[in-house]
Amino acid sequence: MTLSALGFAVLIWGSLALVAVVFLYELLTVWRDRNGRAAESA
Amino acid sequence: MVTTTALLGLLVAVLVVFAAFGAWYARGRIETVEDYITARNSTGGGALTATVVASSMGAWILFSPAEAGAAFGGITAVAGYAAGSALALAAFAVVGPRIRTLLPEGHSLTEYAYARYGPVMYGYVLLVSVAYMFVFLAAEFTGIASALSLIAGVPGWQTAAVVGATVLAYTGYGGLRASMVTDTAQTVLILPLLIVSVVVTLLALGGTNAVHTTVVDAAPELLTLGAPSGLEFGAYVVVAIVGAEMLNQAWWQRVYAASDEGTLRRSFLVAAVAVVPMVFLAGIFGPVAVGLGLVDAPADASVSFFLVVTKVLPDPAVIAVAVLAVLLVVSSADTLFNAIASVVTVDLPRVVDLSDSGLTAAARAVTVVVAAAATVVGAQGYSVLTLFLLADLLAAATFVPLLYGLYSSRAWSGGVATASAAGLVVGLAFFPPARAVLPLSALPAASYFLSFIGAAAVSTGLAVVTARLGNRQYDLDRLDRDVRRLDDDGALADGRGGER
Repeated sequence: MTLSALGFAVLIWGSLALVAVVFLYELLTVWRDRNGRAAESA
Repeated sequence: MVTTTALLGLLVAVLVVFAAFGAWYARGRIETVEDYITARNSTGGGALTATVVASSMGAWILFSPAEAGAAFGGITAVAGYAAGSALALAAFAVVGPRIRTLLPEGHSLTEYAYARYGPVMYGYVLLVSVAYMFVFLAAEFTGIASALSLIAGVPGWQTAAVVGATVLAYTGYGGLRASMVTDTAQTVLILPLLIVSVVVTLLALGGTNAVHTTVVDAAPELLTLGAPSGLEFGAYVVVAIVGAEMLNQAWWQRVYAASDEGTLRRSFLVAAVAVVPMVFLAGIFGPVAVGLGLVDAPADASVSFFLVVTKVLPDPAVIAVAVLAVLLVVSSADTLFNAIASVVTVDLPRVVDLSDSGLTAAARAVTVVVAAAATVVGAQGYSVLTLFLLADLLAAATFVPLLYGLYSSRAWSGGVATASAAGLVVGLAFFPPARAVLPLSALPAASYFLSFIGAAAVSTGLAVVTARLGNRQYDLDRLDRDVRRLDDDGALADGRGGER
C-alpha cells in the first residue's frame, strides 16, 4: 500500500511538530534545572 | 555556490565558540579522574536528555536514513532505522537503573564484563566496544568531510583537522562534563535547525503534496508501507543498532551521570521519542532525491540529503544545513572521544599503579590519541560501511549474553563466551562480505537479515541454555564489592574479576 498524500503530509508535519515539542520540553527542563540549582545554592 | 573560505571561516567560528564554552564550564570542575570520565550523579533531566539526544544524533542521520530511504526499501526502511535508534535508547531506560543498582560505583561496560565474567569476556567486549566506537567516530569525520566537500569544495583534511582540533581542545581539557554541557547547547541549536532545514526545503519544493507527487511519479515503491525489502532491512537494522548501542560506552557513562534513577529513565525515554521524528525527517530526503532524479549512481544514495538541499535551497539555507551537520558531528565526536578514553582509563589501574592525577593525565593522553586517529582516518575519505557492519555484527552476537549477567545469577563466563562465539560464527556464515573469503557456498545465500538475526538469536538462545545447564550460582551483590571508585584508596584493590 502506497502512502497517500494526506498520510505523507501527516507524517512530515507530525514529525516536525514532535521535534518542536521536544525542543520546547528541552528548553523548559534545562531552565527548571537551572533555577533549582540556583535555589539550592542560595 | 557557497565558497570554501566562507564556509570554513564560519565552521571555525562556531567550533571555537563551543570549545571556549566547554572549557569555561569545565574550569575548576575537574578535580579527580571521576569528574573527568564519570560526572557521577551530577546531571539533571534537561541536560541529560540533551546530551543523550545530541550524542545519539550524529551526522549519520543526514546520511544513513536517507540512504536507506533511497536504496534499501523506502519509507519502511527509514521506519526500521527510527525504531532501532529509539529502541536502543529505550533499552537503557530499563537496563540503566539495573546497572546503577548492581554497580553503584562503576564506570564502564568493560569493567562490568571483567567483574562479572573475567578476562576472556572482558577482552572480547573491550575489542568490540572500542572497535564500534572508533568506526562510528571515523564514519562521522568521513561523513562531514564529504558533506562539506559537496557543499563548498572544502578539502576533507581541512574539515577533519578543524573539527578534530577544536573538539579535542575542550574534551581533552574538560572531559565528560565539557562534552555534556556543550551537548546541551548543541541540542538547543540542532533541533530548530533541523526543523528550519526541512520546512524551507519542503516550501522550496512546493509543499508536501508536490513532494509526494514527485516521489510517487518516479518511484512509488519508496512510499510503499510494509515493502518486503524495507521490512527485511528494518528488521536487521534494529538488531544491529540496538546491539551496537548497548556496547557503546557513551550510554554507560550517562547512566552514571544521571542525578537519580527517575531522571535516567525519563531522559532516555524522552530521547528515544525525540530520535524517531528526527530520523524520519532526515530519511525522507532519500525518496525525495530519487523523485527529483538526483540519485544517478548507488553511491549518490548516501548523500541524498545534501544533493536535495544543494539543488533547491539558496546559499544562506545551505550554510544553515552545513552548520547543522557540523553540530551533529561535534556533539557525537566529543562524546566518543571521552567514551573511548574512559574505557581505557578505567582499566589502567589493573596494569599500572597510577595516582588520581596520573589517571586524569592518562585519560587526556588517550583523548589526544583518539582525536588524532579519527582526524587522520576521517580525512582519507575511506568507505567504512563494511567495517561498520562488521562491528555491528560483533555487537549483535555479544550484547544479550553480556547483559544477561545483570539479571541471571546462573550465567557464567564459559557459557556466555560460547554463546557469543557461536552467534558470531552463524552471523559470519551469512555475512555477505564474508562470502568472498569463506568457502561457504553450500549454505543458503548470504544476507544481512540472516546474518544479524541469526547472530542475535543463536547467542541469546545459547546464553540461556548454558546458564540452565549445571548448578552455577553467582552472587550478583559481589559486583558492588568488586567495582569501586577510581579515586578511592581501595579502588580496584579487589577488582580481580568475577566467577569464571
